[in-house]
Amino acid sequence: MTDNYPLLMILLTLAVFLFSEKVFVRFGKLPILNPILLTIVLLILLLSIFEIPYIQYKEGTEVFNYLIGPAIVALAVPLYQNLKQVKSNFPLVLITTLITGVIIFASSLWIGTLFELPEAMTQALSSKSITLPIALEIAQITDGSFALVVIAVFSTGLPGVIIVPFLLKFLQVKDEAIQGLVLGITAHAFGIARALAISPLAAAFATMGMVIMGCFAVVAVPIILSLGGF
Amino acid sequence: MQGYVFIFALFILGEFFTKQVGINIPGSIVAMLVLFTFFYFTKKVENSIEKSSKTLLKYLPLFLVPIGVGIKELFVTFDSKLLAMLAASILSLIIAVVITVFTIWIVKSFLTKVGKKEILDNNTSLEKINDR
Repeated sequence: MTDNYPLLMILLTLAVFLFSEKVFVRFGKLPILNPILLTIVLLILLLSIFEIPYIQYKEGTEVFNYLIGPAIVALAVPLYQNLKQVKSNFPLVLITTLITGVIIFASSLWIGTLFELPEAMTQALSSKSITLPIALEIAQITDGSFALVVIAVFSTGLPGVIIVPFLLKFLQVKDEAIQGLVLGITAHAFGIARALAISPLAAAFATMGMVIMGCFAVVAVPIILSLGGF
Repeated sequence: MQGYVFIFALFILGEFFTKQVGINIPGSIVAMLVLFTFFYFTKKVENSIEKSSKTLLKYLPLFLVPIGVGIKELFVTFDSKLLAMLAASILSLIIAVVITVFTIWIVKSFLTKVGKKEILDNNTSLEKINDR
């Protein structure tokens, strides 16, 4: 039935997304009501209720997939604009992100193995600290599961909004710039959103951390995966 | 509109380049770094590019929704390993934060020791960029 209306899936997605954004703003931007997450959950419910197979939904919304690549290219703009704010701290941001990047990618793999998770899950965990669009690109390169990468990325970002500031307080990190950098490196886009609540400077550092982390990951994660025998 | 044409063209060129050269790096990342380098040397962001990229980034979450809905397929056969994966994810997040904070401390003290002069030079050159 739904096959006859090619725009239906796009309309459905836009409507649910709009609704989710309204709910998110209405409830004071609670992290758990993150609009993407809410949209995904509501769409899964709707597809299940109306018995629409995922494959059909996916085909109907293919156009959104095509726009992810250009949006990644667009990240160059905040990267450049924030570079000005980061100024003399750029070497610190770059070196820290590269070092922690390797450790974070490898340690997530190790923890996945420690928990005796299936290979596909462990592999997805290695890209958990990377922003979703870039993590998905890596999954494409390394034959990973898109769905598991989505879970890995969200299960890092969402709790990150609460856990990261708590740990920063515990470790007595008071510098706003460093708070932002840690948020961006460990909790990607969620971290940037949280850093915005601290200060624009913190958000600038978070953005730098997230984007550099993502760029580095496309090279490092496939190498670490192959070294780990995946 | 010009901004979109430029960004889309750059993206396609990036994809084309990585395919031709045969390197396993997303074309989008190559294109992003090229664009960043372009800004860095021209020292400004063209208005149309800024507008288009703002819009693209604003709706990036929306573009990711269809792939996100794909987790529906995972729940068809419920896997208890999924809970273990969530636990592993949170544990490695905690480790990641601690490691990052310590690395920042170490790198920071290293940089202040080694490169005081170098950082100062860097600072002035960046300030020149800001003035333009």
